[in-house]
Amino acid sequence: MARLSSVALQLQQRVGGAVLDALAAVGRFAGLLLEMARGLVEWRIWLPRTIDESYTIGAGSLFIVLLISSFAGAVTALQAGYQFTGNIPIYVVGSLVTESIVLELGPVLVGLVLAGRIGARYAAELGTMRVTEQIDALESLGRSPASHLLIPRVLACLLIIPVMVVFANVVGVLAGWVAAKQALPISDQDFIYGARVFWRPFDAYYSVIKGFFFAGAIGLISCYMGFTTQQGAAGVGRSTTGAVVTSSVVILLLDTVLAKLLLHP
Amino acid sequence: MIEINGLAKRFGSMVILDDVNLCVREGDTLALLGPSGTGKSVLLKHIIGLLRPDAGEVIVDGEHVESLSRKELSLLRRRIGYVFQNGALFDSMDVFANIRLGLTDQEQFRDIEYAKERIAECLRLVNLSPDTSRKMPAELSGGMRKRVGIARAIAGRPKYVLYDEPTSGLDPVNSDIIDALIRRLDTELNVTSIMVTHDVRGAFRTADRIALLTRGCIVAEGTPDEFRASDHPDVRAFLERDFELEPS
Repeated sequence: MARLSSVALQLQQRVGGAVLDALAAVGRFAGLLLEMARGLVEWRIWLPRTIDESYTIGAGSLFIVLLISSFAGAVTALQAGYQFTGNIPIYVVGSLVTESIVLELGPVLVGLVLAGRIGARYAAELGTMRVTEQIDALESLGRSPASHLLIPRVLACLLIIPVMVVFANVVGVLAGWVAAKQALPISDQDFIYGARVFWRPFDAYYSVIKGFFFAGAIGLISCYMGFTTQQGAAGVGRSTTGAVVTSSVVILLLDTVLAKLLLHP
Repeated sequence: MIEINGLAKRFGSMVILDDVNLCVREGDTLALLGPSGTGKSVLLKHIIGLLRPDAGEVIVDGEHVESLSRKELSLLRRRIGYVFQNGALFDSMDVFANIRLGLTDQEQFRDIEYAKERIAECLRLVNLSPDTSRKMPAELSGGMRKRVGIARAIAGRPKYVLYDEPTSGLDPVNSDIIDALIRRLDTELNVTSIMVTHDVRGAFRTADRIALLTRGCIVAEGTPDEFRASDHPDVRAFLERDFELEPS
């Protein structure tokens, strides 16, 4: 009986500790958001850095985004062609490629790949700056880390990732079109007809809205993880992994929530 | 003047500072000695408001650092230069941009001609050639990084300079250069300095006053002669290099 109550007490302590840690993390995250909101007035500092950062992540991410979206479009077309045999009209391949890429694959694949590419980079950069006291140095000079480091990175994500989603959509659909023509008995007219028959302009907005939310998740989570890094090189490693994993999970969560809110209100 | 009264700080269950009392008068150079891991750097970070105390107060020029607003703290930090242990140079920026960030007055920061002149002057003060300004931190030696860190700290003409282990990791020749530099800067710029170190020789060469921090509090303080003559067992043990770190 005594052993049972001891185990119960340990369990309570662990659960309580985990809850307190989670609340502390929420508090730190809210504090970071507040710091960023305050830092917005220092536009002379964050604006040029945002432009530089946008160019850096945009130029650096374009190739991988176009590559994965090409493969996604081609594979979608080929698999659709494999499944839609018999009585299903061939133009449906055009519908399926376009809708799959624009509604789901474009934004989600871009989000997940850039969570790895940009999120890991931001968390590692800021984490290294934290453990080498560069962030303390910035504060000691009376300067705001939010306006120098955080706002430019988050804004660059918000500016560039939706644009990447648009590129991914266009290239993914074009790659699907080319792949479908190579492997299936489909004409250009069939593909275009299929692409247009179920198309709604809102689909494009929905794709960009998703890209915008995913960008916010990647920027905020990776900056938070990097900024709150502790305990040296191992801490930087933990922050980087945590940023990628958490951003990816949040992207999938947002994907579901946005589908429910925007497609089935 | 910098006053520290009853300062206490703990991280988790580990007590780092426990009732620290210290006063640094204007124009003084205080060397804060103590073995590694006794909270010397933690004490410095309280002075500039990078850490908040669990108890006690830190008063700089009559302002209670722990209760300052974000804006007031930012203004206070413009009067204090902080030299970090490993330089803490921004590794994505060249030396020029690093030192320019030390121009804490925004008008001066934006005036590129003033910035060029002041950065050249700061590099001269720390015995570095003007060409250094174009180098990246990764291209600098350990001693040069420390000197660029000092140049950045003094660029905004601070009233106080806090040095965190300015000679750690340097060979004796470079340590002597940094010690001489600190002495010269204190004289030429008339700043009030606190230098955290465990280099006894450097402390005696540089400081007007010496304090020993151990077991979370200041156990002895005085002029170099008073400190050398102290019969406090911790001072004797430290000076004779026979100091045993308390188990944590």
